[in-house]
Amino acid sequence: MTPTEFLVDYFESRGLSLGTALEEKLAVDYLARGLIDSMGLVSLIMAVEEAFAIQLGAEQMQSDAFLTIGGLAGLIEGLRAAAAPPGG
Amino acid sequence: MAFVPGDCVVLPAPPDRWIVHNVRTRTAVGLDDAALAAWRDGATDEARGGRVFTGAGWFSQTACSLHDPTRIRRNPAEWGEGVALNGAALRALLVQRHLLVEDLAVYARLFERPAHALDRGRLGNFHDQLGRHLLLERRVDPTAWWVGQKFTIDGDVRGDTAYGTVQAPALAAALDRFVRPGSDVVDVGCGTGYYAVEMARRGARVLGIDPDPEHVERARARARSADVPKTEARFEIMDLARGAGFADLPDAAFDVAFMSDALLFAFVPIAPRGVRDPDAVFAQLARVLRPGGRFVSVEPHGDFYLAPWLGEPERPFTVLTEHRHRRFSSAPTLGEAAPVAFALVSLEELYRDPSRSTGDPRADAFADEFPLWVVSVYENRIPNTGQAVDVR
Repeated sequence: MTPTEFLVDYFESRGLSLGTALEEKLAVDYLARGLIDSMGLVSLIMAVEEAFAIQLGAEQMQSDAFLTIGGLAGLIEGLRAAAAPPGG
Repeated sequence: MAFVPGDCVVLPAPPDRWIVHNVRTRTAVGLDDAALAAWRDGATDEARGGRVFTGAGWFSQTACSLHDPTRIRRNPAEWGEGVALNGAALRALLVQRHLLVEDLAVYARLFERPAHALDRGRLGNFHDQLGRHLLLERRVDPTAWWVGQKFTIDGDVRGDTAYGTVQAPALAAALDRFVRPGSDVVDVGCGTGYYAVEMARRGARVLGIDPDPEHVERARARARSADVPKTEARFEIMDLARGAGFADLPDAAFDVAFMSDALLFAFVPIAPRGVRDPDAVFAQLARVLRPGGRFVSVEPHGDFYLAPWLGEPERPFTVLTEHRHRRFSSAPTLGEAAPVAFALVSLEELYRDPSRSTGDPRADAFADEFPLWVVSVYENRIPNTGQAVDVR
């Protein structure tokens, strides 16, 4: 499952509507839209960290990208690439 | 162009270091002489710089018996090696820590309420910052953390914090005055039930209500282990956020409504399950209280968020800017805590019980000098109409 698929599924499986077109879903500012509250955010972060074996730190959380599903997926990809063994 | 905001203070860190501290953003760095001079000039000269110690600032609230809002490590030996920076790198770091400001409008916006836990442009107040730190760094529920500051895992009041040395003895005395055998009491935001059980022990019939199911379960267990009959101390899950949770409570059913450190959560917007509409809560309290019934409120005094840690133990008098700022206040002001549906009967500022100590001289001295909580008692003067009262 790609980070994008994981995130879209995370919201939609909880009955939270992100829209219809994929492009629209990726652009959703999930906190500003009130899809999840502050504890929901922590749950999301922990689910992402477990699913992709990464650590989301202050650098990622302070990034504007973190606020949209597409941006967050990109940050996850970046951390996975950095954690991948050289040449792997 | 960057300039030094007026909220900065400089503290010596002998023998040859300095702490530059913004008392409003509560950010700090350690500097050597050269870096201090460069900071003062806005770090505009690309060739000038010095050594910067980011370890001088830390998130101190979670490690003290008295919440330390300054976030300074005073001892340079604890700062680490630091880094040598000049020009743009020095300026960027100092701007990032709010010790230099490039855009005053952006700086002013920092003190607005954050929209959510990742709102980078707004720091909010003490509680906003603490809540965000607990959520994102510690990954804990701020409400649970707060309860842990006050009570042990067994639900008793901790002796090593100001809750044990100031609040608990004063409240025990206050309950003796306001709760009579046979009184009907509603404990609004009862948490894990400590004070509800204390009131039941004094012979009152207590209904504790709280939005947190775990708290309610712990409160029930506490009442069981204290051998308080179920009829004397009942606990129900109710949402306090907008007063709606009170809808099931009957009109004019209680002699006393008790609220301890619960209204506080109106000022913690990113804490889950917090009180979000104090006026709605007050209106419901007026409805459920009998005419002449008492609303007993225990909330942090504005002085709670002074900065004792800037001073010496016996002279903890340095004052931060936040505590009386109406818009930025960390605690309810007396006006906000005094709904017009009620008449103020008494007001008591709480100081330390001299027979108790946190074990920390600085925290003890501070609680001797400044009132940390205020107990206000209001009488319900609204004739009961069976309708929620608009208190505005």
